[in-house]
Amino acid sequence: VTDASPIIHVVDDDPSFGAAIAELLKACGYQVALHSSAMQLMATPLGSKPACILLDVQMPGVDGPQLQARLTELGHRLPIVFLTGHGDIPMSVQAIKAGADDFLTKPVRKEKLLQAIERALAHGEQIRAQDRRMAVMRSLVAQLTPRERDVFDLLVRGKPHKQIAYALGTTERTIKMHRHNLMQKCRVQSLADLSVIAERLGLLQASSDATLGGSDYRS
Amino acid sequence: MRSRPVAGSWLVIDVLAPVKGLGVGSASGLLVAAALAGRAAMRGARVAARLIVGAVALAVLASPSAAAEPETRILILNATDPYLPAYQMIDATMRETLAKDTTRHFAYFSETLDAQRFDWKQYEAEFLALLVKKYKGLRIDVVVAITQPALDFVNDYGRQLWPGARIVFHGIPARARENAALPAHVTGVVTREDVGGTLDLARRLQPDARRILVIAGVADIDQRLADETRKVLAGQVQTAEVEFLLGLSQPELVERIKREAADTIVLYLAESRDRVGRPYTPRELLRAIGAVSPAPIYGIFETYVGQYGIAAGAVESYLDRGRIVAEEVLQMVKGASPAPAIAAIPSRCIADADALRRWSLDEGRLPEGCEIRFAERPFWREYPWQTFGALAVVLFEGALIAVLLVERHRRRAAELELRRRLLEVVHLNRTAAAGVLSASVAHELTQPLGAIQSYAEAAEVYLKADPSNIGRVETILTAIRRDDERAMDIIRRLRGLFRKRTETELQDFDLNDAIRDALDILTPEATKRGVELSVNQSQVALPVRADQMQLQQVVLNLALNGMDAMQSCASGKRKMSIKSAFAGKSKLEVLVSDSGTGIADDKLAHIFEPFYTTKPQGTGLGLSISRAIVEAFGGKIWAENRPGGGATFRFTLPVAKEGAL
Repeated sequence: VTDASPIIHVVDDDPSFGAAIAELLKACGYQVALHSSAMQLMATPLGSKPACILLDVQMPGVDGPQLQARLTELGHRLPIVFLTGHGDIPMSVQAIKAGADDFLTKPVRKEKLLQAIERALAHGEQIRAQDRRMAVMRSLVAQLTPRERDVFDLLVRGKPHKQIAYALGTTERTIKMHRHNLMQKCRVQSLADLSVIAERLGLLQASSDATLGGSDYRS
Repeated sequence: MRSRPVAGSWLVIDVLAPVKGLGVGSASGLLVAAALAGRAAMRGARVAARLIVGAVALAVLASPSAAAEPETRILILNATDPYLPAYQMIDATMRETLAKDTTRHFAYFSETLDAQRFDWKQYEAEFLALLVKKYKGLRIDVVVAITQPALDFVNDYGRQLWPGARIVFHGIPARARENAALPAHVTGVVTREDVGGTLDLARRLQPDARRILVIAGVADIDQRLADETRKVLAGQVQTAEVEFLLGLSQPELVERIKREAADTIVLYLAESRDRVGRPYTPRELLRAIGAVSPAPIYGIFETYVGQYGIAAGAVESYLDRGRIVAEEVLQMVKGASPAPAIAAIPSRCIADADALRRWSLDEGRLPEGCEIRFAERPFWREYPWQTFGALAVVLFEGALIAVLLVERHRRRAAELELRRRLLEVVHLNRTAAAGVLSASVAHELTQPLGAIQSYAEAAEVYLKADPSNIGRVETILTAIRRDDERAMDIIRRLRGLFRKRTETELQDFDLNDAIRDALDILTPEATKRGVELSVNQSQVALPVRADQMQLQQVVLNLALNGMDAMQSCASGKRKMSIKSAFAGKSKLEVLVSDSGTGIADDKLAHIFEPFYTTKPQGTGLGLSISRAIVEAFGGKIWAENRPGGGATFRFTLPVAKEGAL
């Protein structure tokens, strides 16, 4: 077990079960953080290391699904594997819909557990990679001047140069210059690539037709 | 006497009540006059009271001034003591018999010559003069002359004193009258002093007697009887030695009689006066010697029968004499002419059962027809109505007791049955609860089981590793054992829920223990149902005397009931609290509150009734069983709505005696 090993956050109100799972995961080479309640997990800084959450469904106070919702609200995107005492189908459906990676029934076999955890970690890795890409794109877009940003917003919506020039009260030439500059800054070769960035960052839905140049976005 | 009750006669019924006891012969006054039977005794104030009433009535009856209509006047002239028990009996019976003639009113006068105590000839003149003065101008219809001196006196002076009076005598031996001619206006009743008959009787009872002891005084009558006895004895062939004790004083006699052999026949004739002139009531003297005599005593007078009296005798009944005298008097009053013939009184064999027993005489030797007095008659024949009544009461009570016992038995059986049924229902209720709880129990069980599995797999990993991590494996094994223990605990609890009991187990325990037991089971259920459970138990022990398991069940029922009531609440709003505390000094209280829907006011009163339920799956038994359990241990249970929503179920129990825990 090294610092580089993924961290598994085990959340279970039952001390013996939690401890046993923790022991097993440790034996299998993971770092383990054992939490006896949802609140305790939420009080822990989760960091950006590879990690996943192994969450008991039934807990006094805040239960598993509630914690899941809370974490999503807070923007945490750690993969979650649920554990439940008995296969409660409505609850598992709800959990999966809410973004759970897997739903396991207690007692759980090592193989199944490890598979689920590995899957979740891989999923987590995907999320993290995506997050990284998003962060790069976001920083590229952030480099644009306000004028370039305005042009960007209209370009990705497929407006012709003439129309953009008219909308911004300038000439087609000026627009072409801005377009050249901003494509360089965004490190793209084509208008299509630029549209992909806008789409990924959610900039297409964000700015309405009326308000050009809004820099905020919603995911 | 008791064998011949005189019907319709208040006096006889009252006075002659057949009670053996103390004699009243030595008493005086009207009371004595009423107590005619010398040996009649009074027992109890009631008899005494009746005697007084009787005596007063007698006085009124005898008073000449009380007579409004022309009365028949009877003078009783006794030459001896008219207060002698015999004369009282005779006198009373005579008056009694005469009183039956309702067409006449009788007035009685009495005089005595006192001849047995005094030498009466000394004062005969003065006595005569007194009578002349007393009876001047007073008509007397009949003179009853008692004993020979009285008859002689009437014969001598009767015409002068009481002109026109007819005479009836009694108390004169038949022998004395044998050859005497009587004037027409005189008749009477002769006495047969049946010395011979009495001696015969004595010999029947004591065939082996070697001695006959005859006791008599020295008064005229005493001596006459002694002479008579001598004659009788002289006329018989004697196998026994005969001795006469004449005129001994009472102390001498008592001393003398004590030394007598038990097989002697003692014939007590009469002793009115001893040789130094001391007067006696013969009956009293008999009583004195009768009390100490080892030998049976026989006598010829009826008055001698009774306590410490004679064993038996051929006696003349004074009741007979009184009756016959009365009949003669009535004939005379009616003016029968010629005067009725002289009557004789038959002698009767009378024996005293007590005395026979005392002197060990065989009752069977008595001649047939002999009247045995004071024989112990069966109680039921003596007092048939009382006996019947008492018997009826006893039977009734017995029946009542039997009915009550049967009732009690049935009630006990019913109570036992009820208790058994309650136990069965309690058991049903437990298994139902266990069914409800089974999911959470199963869930709880997966925790240690799952832990054990994970530990085992971890241990495998450690062992397969190179190098293998044995130290870690040891730690894991300890943890496995602990979890196994925990699994066993859960199974034990589950088994406890299903355990069938046949008896209520009364024990002293801390109520908190029962709540803790319930909480062990309830906590996983609360988690499963998303109910936040807060517990606030008393810090001090709550001693209670009850069945711990049943109280645990009450807490379970109330809590499950509360959880059901919160089913429809949003998660996070399901809150339950369980509290226990002292409520005052003598009571304990447990509260189970929920944040559920509460109870409609109109249902509050019914929720503890059996089969009353507001839940679709409810049996309606949980709360009613809880009530049955709480009330069985002297407690109370009720529910109330909480102001902030939800309901509180509360039950109290009496505190167990100090030092119970």
